[in-house]
Amino acid sequence: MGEVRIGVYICHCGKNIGGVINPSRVAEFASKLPNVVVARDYMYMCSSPGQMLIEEDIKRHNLNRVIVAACSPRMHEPTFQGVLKKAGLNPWLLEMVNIREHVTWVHEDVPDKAEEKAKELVYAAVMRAQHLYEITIHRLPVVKSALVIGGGIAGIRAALDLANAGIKVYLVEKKQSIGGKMAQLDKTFPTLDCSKCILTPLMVDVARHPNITIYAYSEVVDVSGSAGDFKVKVRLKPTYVDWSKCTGCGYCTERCPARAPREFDEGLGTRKAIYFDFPQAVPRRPVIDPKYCLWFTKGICRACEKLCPVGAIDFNQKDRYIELNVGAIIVATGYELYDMTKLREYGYGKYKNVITGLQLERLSDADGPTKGKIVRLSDGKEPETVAIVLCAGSRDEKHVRYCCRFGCAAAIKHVYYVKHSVPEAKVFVLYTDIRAFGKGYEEFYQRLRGMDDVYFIRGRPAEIFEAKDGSLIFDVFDSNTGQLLSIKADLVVLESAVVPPKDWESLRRMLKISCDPGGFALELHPKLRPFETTADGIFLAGAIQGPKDIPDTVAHAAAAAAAAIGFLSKGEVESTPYLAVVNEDLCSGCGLCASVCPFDAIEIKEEGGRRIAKVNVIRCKGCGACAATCPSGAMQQNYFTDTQIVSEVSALAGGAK
Amino acid sequence: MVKVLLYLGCTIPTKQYAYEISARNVLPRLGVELVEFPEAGCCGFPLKGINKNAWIYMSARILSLASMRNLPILALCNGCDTSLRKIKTLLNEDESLRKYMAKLLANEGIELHTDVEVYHVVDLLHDVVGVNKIKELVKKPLTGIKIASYPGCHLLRPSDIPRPEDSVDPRKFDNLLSALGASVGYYPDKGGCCGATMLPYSAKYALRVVAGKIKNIKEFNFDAVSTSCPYCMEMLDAKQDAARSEVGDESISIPVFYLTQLIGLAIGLSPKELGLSLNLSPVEGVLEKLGVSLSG
Repeated sequence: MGEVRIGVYICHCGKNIGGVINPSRVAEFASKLPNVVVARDYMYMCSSPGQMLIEEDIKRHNLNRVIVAACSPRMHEPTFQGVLKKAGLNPWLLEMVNIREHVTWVHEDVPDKAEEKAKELVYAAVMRAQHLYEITIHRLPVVKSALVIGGGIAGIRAALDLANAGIKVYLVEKKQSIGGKMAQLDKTFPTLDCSKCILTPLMVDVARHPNITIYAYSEVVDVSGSAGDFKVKVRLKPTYVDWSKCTGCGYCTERCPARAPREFDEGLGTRKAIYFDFPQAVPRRPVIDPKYCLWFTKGICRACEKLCPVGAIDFNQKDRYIELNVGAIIVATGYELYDMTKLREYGYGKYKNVITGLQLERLSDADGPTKGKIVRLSDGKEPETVAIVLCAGSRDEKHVRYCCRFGCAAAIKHVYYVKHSVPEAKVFVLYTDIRAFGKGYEEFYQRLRGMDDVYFIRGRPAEIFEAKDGSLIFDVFDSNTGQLLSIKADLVVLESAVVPPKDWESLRRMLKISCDPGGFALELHPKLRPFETTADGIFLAGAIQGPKDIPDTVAHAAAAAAAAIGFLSKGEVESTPYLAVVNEDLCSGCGLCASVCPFDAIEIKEEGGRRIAKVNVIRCKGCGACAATCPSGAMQQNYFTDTQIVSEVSALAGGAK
Repeated sequence: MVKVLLYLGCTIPTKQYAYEISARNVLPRLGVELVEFPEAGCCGFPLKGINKNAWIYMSARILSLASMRNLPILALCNGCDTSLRKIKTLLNEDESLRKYMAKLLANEGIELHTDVEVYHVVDLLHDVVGVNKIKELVKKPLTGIKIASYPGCHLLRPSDIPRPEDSVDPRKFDNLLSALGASVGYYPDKGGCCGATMLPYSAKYALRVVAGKIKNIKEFNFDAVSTSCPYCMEMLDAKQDAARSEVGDESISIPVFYLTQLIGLAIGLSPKELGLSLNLSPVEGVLEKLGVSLSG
């Protein structure tokens, strides 16, 4: 840029600065510093005349660096960058010195020393400004489409919101049908409306929406590219049914002779080898389970093929792969229940009458294995006494430390299920704390707690044992009354802890986003940005960010969709000005920078027979970790290069000249 | 042949002679050579709540004496076994405690060492001697007798230090009983406490624990109970009558045997060699089934 020509502007900020130090003396001092062409002070630099003053100076004196000594750059850096821009200069040739918060506000009682400090800071800025250079912002167009991973209530809500905003949505679901955990629930708390009745209309909306394409029985196998332009590879698992021909009539599922445990019933009921997840499945297209199909296991049958009126059965189907190009990704993979067999003292899996809360949902559901009757699994009898155990695995240092956030309300709902199905039953609720925090939850709790023969006991069962008749006996210390109680129950319901899905870890690595100690996806900010991730263009919806109930999941999903819509409708993505930049002559390709990058923005590439670090300008967030780590100084950060920082620091160390 | 230091602790030589008698007669026949260990004192376990360092010192002393002899310790008592293994773990993990104990032991002229193996009867027989070896030696199988194994809480817990049995699903004891030809099985609270530690504070509740345990065992149709801890034996066997009167339930009655006594019977030893006349519970019925009598 040739000769360095600096203009220095000292702001009075009314009395904020001018009442403590003498800005004219600071300007006078600055005017003698190297390459300073003009130095002035003014009452309000940020005011319109103040801005005009700088703009005119830039033109008149042919300035190519501007230093404004005023308030915090957090306050007015964008203002003065605007001035530079207007005057035809690159905005990153501006340097701000904070002589208000850092000087006059904190050293009001020692004005002489304050003025000295202001001068030193201005001097350091002048020395730093010698090495400022023009910074280019990279802009890339955004593909106006989105991928939603997971078809539970979070994915459904996010997909519908995106699609209604005119964005093309691809919804990938690993199971046969969308609907997720909510479809398995009988009722929802605290209003006790039927879960499927409020969910299935939304599922149908998804299926009918012209902007949504569902890939069910599919999974994401590879993600590359970056915000605004992701390339996603999806595996369509073989269903052995040509879904384009199938009409969903269901003859095949009715006549199939092979039975398998029904996943939708949490292993309690049975289904056929060719099946829909549940009657209201969307898409209503069956899949064949080769683990149980008689053709795959014994080479016989093929009844479905003979019966199918449209010839859709295809036993030779293989994995198929498709490539999607999307601008944004919404992760809505949901949660799983913690493996209850790990709580060995509760005997789940060993004693038939110890079940999970989700299994109770299936028993209570009219489409479930008992057609909605709550019974003991050992003998099919109605239970006289039911014990509901909260925090099974949650808030427990041996299992998961965090709270599942819906166990309390679910348990209260489960009290209702039991009392509704067997009105004379006794129900014991063994809780740690009842956290009825949601809207209407406390009222719901009070209502159920007040019912006859419902006992809330504050304590966790010790070991559970099976009595001769299959009922369960255990001791529990009631910390409210200080008594040790012995309880005999016909059915024990464990409100399980909640964990991320088993296959989440591999997907998380593909998406290159961080996780919290519980393994859930890490949000960008726990309070202010709970649905964004450290990776631009990737958003979180629902329980994958942490356990959530349905109302919170829906709110979270809608927020994620809104953020994605905002991101996509801007039309382009911008790089940060503080980009990491590699001096390729110095780079040895050691890869240390790549290993410390929290955004996975650096790749080590082979080029001309040697390894060189390459920065993805969209992924880089300008944190500076790589620049600080680089052993050779090849990695520099825009606006904070080694030369710039060292000049500033040595000026400060040497004192004012 | 495996050589071990026979560590009796304090309860067995003062109250539970039958355990010592049966162990001394049975173990050598299974190939376990018992070496006397008279220099060892109390393991200190009862002092745990009163003076922790005294407890640690006493167990550290036994570990050190054993390692001077270069032989593993066989503890017959669950409490001794827990104490020794706990202190071994503690001393191996805590360098400053180790230095402190070494200093105290030096006053007695003992050098602190913890590199010594500690066995309890159950894991010595199951893991070292082996179930098959025992099976081979059985002459009079306990066929047709259903025996409830009662390992006792300290054989299982605390689970953060090495214990002879799994804390939730103990199987070794049952494996040993099965090797003798007996039938075994589940009953509730197999891993629970016998109530012995509660006895000095609330005899009433301690006896109720005993009664509840025997009731559970009888409900699951067992003919007898077997244990390997002198405290459990004391509670289930000697306190059985008191437990019966405490709850006023005449059905609280079951024969109780040491594991070593049952092994002795199965390999053909006489009731006298097993100290069976010292058992206070009604063992006669089971002996009759096996064709032996207390007098014989």
